Amino acid sequence: MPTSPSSRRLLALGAALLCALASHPAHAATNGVLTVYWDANNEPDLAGYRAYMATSAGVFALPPAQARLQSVTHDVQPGTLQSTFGSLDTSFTYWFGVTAFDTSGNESGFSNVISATPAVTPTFTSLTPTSGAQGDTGLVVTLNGSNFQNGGTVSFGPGITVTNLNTTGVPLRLIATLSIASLAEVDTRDVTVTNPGGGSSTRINAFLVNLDLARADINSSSRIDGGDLVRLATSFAATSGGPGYSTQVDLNVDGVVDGTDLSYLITFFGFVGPF
Amino acid sequence: MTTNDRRASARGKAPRLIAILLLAVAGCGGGGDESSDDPVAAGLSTNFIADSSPICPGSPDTLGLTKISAVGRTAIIGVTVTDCNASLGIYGVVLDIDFDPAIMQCESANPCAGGTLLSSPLLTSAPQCTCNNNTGELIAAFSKRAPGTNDTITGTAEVIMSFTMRARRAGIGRVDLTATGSLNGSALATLSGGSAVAIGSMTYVSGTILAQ
Repeated sequence: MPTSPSSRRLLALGAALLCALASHPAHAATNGVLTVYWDANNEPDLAGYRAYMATSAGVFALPPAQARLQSVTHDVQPGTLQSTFGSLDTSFTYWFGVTAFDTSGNESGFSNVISATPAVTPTFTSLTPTSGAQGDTGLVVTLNGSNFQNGGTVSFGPGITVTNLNTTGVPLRLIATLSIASLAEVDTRDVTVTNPGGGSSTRINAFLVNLDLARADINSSSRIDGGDLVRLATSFAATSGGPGYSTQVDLNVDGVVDGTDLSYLITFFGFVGPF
Repeated sequence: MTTNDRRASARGKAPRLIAILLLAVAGCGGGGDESSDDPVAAGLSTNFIADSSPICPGSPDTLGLTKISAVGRTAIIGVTVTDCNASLGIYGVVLDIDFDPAIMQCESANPCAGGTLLSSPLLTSAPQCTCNNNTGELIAAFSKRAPGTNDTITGTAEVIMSFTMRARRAGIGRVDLTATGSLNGSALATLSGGSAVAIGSMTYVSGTILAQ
């Protein structure tokens, strides 16, 4: 008994395909992975599903028995609603359809057919500049590497927003425009480039958020001096949420007023604004 | 011209060249290091004279400069709190000191040392100072840190910190406490309700360095 194709409608492409890649950029062309998901068929004599993958949409115009000769197929149990195809060429587009078959050996027609391209793992090698300061806006950072794709994203961690990502230089270059929050933590950040399919590359401690000098002028006197030192002293060892704590004196915004904040203040002791 | 004449001529030019080089070396000084000192500075004798000396009882609460020692070209100047009735609670000091850079300079980049007034816990082990020998400005700060309490004077006067100046050449130069600090124009802070608050109504005493 053929099962109605409409009952095995495939999910929307964006949500249905998860892509994972091995971590060897040199093999990026053939290490693509695609997973296809579908809705359940609830007929009582269901024996399983058959997921088809082909490199041409025309294959799915054929009856399943003929299409099978030109496809890669995976048979799965009735309780399974996904199948993963690996070792895919990341430069190809692949087409997928799913059928159901019953305990008598009948196979349905194809579900709706979808296509996808396996994710490409980017290789993120460098960026410039490698630092910015709290409160910076419109900071343009160029990221260099390979296999970058249109539609990808770049993450610099909490407190840093990528307000624009110029992808005209793909696959070798991305240009990100950053906005660093005034209270972004002063620290080094891991930077991650993620391609649309989910492949990503991270450089550890690649970007440094520096202290906004004006923040060391705690009492806004236009000079970093003893007034600021005494103010910091009264909150020394205070922790976020506790008495005496304020981000005004937690210069690096790490949640505790400590020697690190003091060292920043001492480093700039005597500096005169306007900051 | 004979060979001997040429030799004589060469010998005659050499001293002038050396003189030019010496002048050039002398002109490369500046920035407050010893190369810019008066040639007779090495023999200078320095003294610091405070404008006044608070005497208890009767003196108002005073932050003043006092001589701790003066040896050769170097004078150690104390920043002394006089509090005749030991009523002040002192948490930190914030100083702006102007000096005559033509006559003196800071002994080092951080010429300050702690006194006896402030007790542990301190924010820094020694006062934080920065000195500009070109403009003649020294800013300094020394503070206790939380969790902690105010300190009071033992006796009637106590040194909260000191700094060391060195004479550059003979002359008389002022050393002035100024009220340009960021602590509401005051130099002393007390801890009140968990916050550093300026101690107002202080009398400030500056002084003069004599180098001869």
